Amino acid sequence: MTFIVHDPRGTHVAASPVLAPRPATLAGLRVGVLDNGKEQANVLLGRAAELLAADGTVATFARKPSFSRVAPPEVIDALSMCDIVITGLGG
Amino acid sequence: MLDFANEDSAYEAFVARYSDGLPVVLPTPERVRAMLTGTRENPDDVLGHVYPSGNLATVRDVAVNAVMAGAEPRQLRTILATLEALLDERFNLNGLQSTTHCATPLVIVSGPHAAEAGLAAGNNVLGNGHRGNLSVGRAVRLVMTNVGGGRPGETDMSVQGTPAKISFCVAERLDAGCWPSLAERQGGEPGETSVTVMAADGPVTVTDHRSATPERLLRNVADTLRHMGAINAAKPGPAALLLAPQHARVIARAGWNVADVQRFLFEHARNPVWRLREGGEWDPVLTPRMVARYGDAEDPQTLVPALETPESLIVAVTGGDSGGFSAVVTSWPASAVLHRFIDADGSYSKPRAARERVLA
Amino acid sequence: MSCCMRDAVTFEARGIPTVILVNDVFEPIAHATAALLALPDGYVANNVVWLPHPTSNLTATAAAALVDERIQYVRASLLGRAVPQNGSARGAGASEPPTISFSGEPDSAALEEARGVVAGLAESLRADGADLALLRFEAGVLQGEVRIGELTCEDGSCIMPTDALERMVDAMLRPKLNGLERVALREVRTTP
Repeated sequence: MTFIVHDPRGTHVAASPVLAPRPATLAGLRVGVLDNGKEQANVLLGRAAELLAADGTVATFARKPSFSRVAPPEVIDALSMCDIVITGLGG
Repeated sequence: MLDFANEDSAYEAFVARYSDGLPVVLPTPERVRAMLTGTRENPDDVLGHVYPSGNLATVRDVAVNAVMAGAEPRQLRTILATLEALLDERFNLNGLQSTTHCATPLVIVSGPHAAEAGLAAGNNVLGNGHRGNLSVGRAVRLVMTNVGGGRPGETDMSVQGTPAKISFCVAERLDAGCWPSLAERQGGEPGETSVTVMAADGPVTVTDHRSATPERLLRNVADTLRHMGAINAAKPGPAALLLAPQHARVIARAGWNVADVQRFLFEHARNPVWRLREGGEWDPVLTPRMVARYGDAEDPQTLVPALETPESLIVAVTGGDSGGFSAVVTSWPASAVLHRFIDADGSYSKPRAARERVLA
Repeated sequence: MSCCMRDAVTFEARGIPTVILVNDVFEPIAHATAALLALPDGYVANNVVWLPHPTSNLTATAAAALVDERIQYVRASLLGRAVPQNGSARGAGASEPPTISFSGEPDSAALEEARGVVAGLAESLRADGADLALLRFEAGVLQGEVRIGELTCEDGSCIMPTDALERMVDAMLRPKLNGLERVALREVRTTP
């Protein structure tokens, strides 16, 4: 490469999403379990919720109507009273 | 920086991806350095986000696109002032870049710096042949395209566009001998030059060699201004009147000033409700609400202005002395008309707050 | 899995830390989605727990055993103390793709290298019965096909929409492919 010119496109700036602060302990927390609906997701996530219950969490379950779309607002809202969420998965 | 095998492949790539469809001048480091001599500002100073991409434009990025447009360093201050106004969120560049409407920024430069910048104000000012005017308009469009990501068919959904999207820049005639300049009327200090931007449709010609009174002449202008095809008919808003010197003299000789012109056109560039109902952009809910600001929305004879207020009309004298042809420019409604000033000494280094003034 | 990450971002914005369990075959998509969403460096390492692919055919016992083994990573992630994960078939991070220079020639070496960068993504799609083929790179436009085959759902909804794939491929290649202007993927049905 030998011919150099300025890039006319300016500077790309992406706004980074804000991440929530992490808790110091899981004890006493409400865990939302968002099942994306793929095969066995409910089994695997259900087992994870059981194990987290042993840490003192209480689970609320919800399932997405479609795993190839984002969760609809009512599903997001249903889990928004939780303190933490686990989601996934499958294939 | 972009690195190409040779100049030819750079040329092809730039025409294909970073142009307005026509060849551009390649922004080599030497050319960009030379362009930056046209301003005192720090090349790394950020002007702002250019939407829809949100990419940041620095003074240098503007200089790069100014080189590509074929501008000379003496036009850079005008280009920077124009972009500062365009990047003000009140202008709503994001909306303009993605609308289906065929609108583009109209740039009016009024004041002594226009001549220093090599901008034309005389014959054929809206047409071909004037490197300065065309480069300013083109540089603005290239920044909108390359930095802002406004690309036809991708983000730019304009149905037909307009030739004015290539370039749309005029300077005001300061020697017509009629009225204070647009810059002075905008509150500019002596020697200052204003750069005014309006989200605009293409210009519509008003031909008149017969009228010897302001009323007769301006009735022609009024008819052009209130035409049903313009969105102004359904949504009163700003517009620009680019008055030929010959027309300006007809008006000024009768003792009229610009405020008289604005008032006359506010009163006469109107459509009755019955005509609005019959055609055009009549919205059964929104339009009656708009009409109610000016009279009884149920009365078919209520007259609805094309201008939101008399002051919504920007008046600038421009063009040659050879005849009676003026231009009416209607606007895209979701934008504010804004202007910025270039200092008397031609610099553009005042703090932003000191430079910013909005046309009410 | 990119929808799971988008859901996670939604919860994070509401102040709810979220951990995503993902089959390891989707690792390239996870990184590409994180890039597309402008998530901070380390987001995937800190908030995704990998499960060996496939999981759809696990017996109940095997599924429970798998989760029992991985829950330590879920806990650690939820507490903001993620640790490197052992036992995932792929390991923790994607290897650094090569830097590609723009040559301006169609079907050039740049195209071959781009294919290499998205190879993992293509493999993920094959896990869902689809495929991604990059066909041509010319005048800044990278053209390709998303081939939807018989193993995907009838309406093609099992894989992500083609325009989302375009943005994903764009995010993966833009830092590497000098001169990339846009990605244009065409959807092609390969079932009879």
